[in-house]
Amino acid sequence: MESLKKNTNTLDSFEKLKKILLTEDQQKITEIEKKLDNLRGQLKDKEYFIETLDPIFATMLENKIIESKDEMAEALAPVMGEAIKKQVEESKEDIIDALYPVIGSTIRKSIAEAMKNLVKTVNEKLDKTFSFVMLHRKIKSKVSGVSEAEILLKESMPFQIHEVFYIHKETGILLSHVTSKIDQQTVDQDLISGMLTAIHNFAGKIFGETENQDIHKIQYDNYQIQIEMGRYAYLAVVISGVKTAVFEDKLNQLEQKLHQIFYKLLREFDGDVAEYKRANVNISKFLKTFTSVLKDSSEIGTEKRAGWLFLSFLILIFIILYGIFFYLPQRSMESTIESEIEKIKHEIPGLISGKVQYEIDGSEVQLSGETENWIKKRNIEKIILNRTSAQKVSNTIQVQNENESSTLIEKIKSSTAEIDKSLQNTLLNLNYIFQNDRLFIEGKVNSLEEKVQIGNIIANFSEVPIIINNCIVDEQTFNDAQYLINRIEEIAIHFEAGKSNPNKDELKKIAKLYNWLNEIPFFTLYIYGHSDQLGGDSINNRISQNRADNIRNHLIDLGLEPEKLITGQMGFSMPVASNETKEGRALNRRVTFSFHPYR
Amino acid sequence: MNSNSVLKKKICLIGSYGVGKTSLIKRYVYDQFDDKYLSTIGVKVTKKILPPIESNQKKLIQLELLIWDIEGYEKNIPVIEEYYMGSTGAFAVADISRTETIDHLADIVKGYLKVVPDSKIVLVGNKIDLKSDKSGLKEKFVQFANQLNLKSFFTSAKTGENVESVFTYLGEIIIKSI
Repeated sequence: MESLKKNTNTLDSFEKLKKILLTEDQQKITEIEKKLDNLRGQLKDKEYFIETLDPIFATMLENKIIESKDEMAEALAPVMGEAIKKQVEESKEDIIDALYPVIGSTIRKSIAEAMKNLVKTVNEKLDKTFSFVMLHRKIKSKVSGVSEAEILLKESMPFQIHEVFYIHKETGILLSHVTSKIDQQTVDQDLISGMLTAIHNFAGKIFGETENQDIHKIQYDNYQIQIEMGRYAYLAVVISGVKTAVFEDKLNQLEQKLHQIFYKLLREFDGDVAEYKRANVNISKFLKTFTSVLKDSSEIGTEKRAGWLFLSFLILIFIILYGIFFYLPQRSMESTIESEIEKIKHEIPGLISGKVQYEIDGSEVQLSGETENWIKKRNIEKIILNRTSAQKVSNTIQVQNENESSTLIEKIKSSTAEIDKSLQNTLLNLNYIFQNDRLFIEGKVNSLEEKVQIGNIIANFSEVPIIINNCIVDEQTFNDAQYLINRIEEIAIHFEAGKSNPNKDELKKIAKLYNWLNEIPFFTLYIYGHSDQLGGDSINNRISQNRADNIRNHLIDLGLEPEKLITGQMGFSMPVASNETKEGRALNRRVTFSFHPYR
Repeated sequence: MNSNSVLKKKICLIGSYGVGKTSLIKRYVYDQFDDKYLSTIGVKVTKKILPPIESNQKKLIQLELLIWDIEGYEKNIPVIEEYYMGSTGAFAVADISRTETIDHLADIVKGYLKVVPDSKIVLVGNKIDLKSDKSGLKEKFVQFANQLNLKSFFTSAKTGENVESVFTYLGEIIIKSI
């Protein structure tokens, strides 16, 4: 018994000792066990686990993507592909509904661009043609801002919208209908909707190569049913005339708008169409907006009349402006020049005597009649040019006394005597012939430069209006120059009847003439216009003058100095062939050239 | 759906060639397209407005039937499935004087239900006016209807017998199913 008690005491002591030694460890173990339990719990709590790991994974993935982008893409591609595919399959309707407006808009832009190109092409073609009607259209286009091609198309085929159907795609049931026709009974719109849908189904199945191909229009005589297909419903618009990009664009926008409003209802369509009456507001708005852009035929008729009135108004304005800016100033200038000439006559008595007449045409003074000598003739022209507002003087005054040749020549020789010393009396040894207002210089000179210099000196000292410098450098040069002069004077540029501009072949002659003229020194080239005998004097004189003026302008354009070129009108006074035949008249319609003025 | 509202429903007329589908329509409705549409694209649409029918919700509903009269089964119309789409009901019509038209009806109904499984079908044995019931075709037709668990009618487009009843019946079961 005592032994048992002793053992019990030993055990208690051991427990106490154990407690003293292990309590601290036990507490630690308990805490660790608690922590382990917590961790087990956290591992079972998926949300907590994901939340904890989320930032780590995010950082890890980010680093991995930066380090090896291609490997990550390769690893994720199959998974992502499958995921997207599955998502699309599960939410097909939502995805299509979300993409629908974007796709529609893209297609619409593409079509609008194509229409713009078409209109541009038509405009380019129109720009190359001209007629009175075209002029009217061009003015109308400028005023309205609508392109000429669109106006032409609209005028040819006036555009009208007759009816608009909004139809459920699958059943063909009519959802909404708006018509522009008044008091007109048509076939039941429900039947039209059903048959249109049947035709659409039939055509799509028979002719469509892919599932999504749709029929876009049905043409019957002058009418066309334009179809704007939507996802669940479509619009069928009965139109006539030429539709434009504006119409297609607006129609597409209308369909998109209706889709946005009704797509949820349409998905669950049960045959109740009451709700779709709301579509009438949008459709009517579309019709109203549209008809204000593209007017119907009666309005176009009114516009046409308005266009003619506008054109008449423009012509009236033109006449008034012409009177203000051209006719009245011209009359005013003529009056001014006349008073200036009268003043000269008063200040210099005897200069413009009774035998000298003048006529004023705009800024040009035409002198005629006769005077005593060429100096006086020249002075009259110079004084009028210097002291009046005249821009041009046409001097056809005849000189009465031409027996002043010797006096003139002596005067030239005496006045050039001083300068002639440096030329070793070359001027003195030349021959001078004064005839018909022209001074001919003949003789030998040392060089071409000297020939030109002599011509200039004589021109400065003599005041003779026309100097023909026939001086020769040597025999060969003289012959060559004379050959060219003869050839130039043989040239005749011919014209078609009634034309004052030469054709292409005749223009080549001008180029040749220009080259020859560059080879010879000359002071003045006379360009004479001729006509055939058909028509009156006044017409023929005018056309012959125009012909000469046009050739002169061509030569100036090529590089000849304008002051060397003088034109004259000969009318039909110098025919070279019979005016009785067509061939003869063709030869008479010409421009000729001379280094001497015709008498 | 609104009370006392109008409902528009597409229904189909299906069956073999020459069973009298078009004649049934002519007898029943007046507003119609020319028959040339039928031979061109294989379908003709007509419309009939039924008298108001009371729904399960005790509301009167005006039913407008858009009837798609589809050309005979033998014509093998490639677009037939598109014509079936969106329909709420159908008359499957046979000529009770021609046994093959009853035989074809099984395939026709099967093909139709494949496209619109929830559609309501009424079997119509037409040409009841023909007196010669040579080999118990009426019984065969009834037996066929029982197999498919479908309601059947015998009609005569010629005399008008039962024509209105079949349309009214289809209208009613459509309304009751809403």
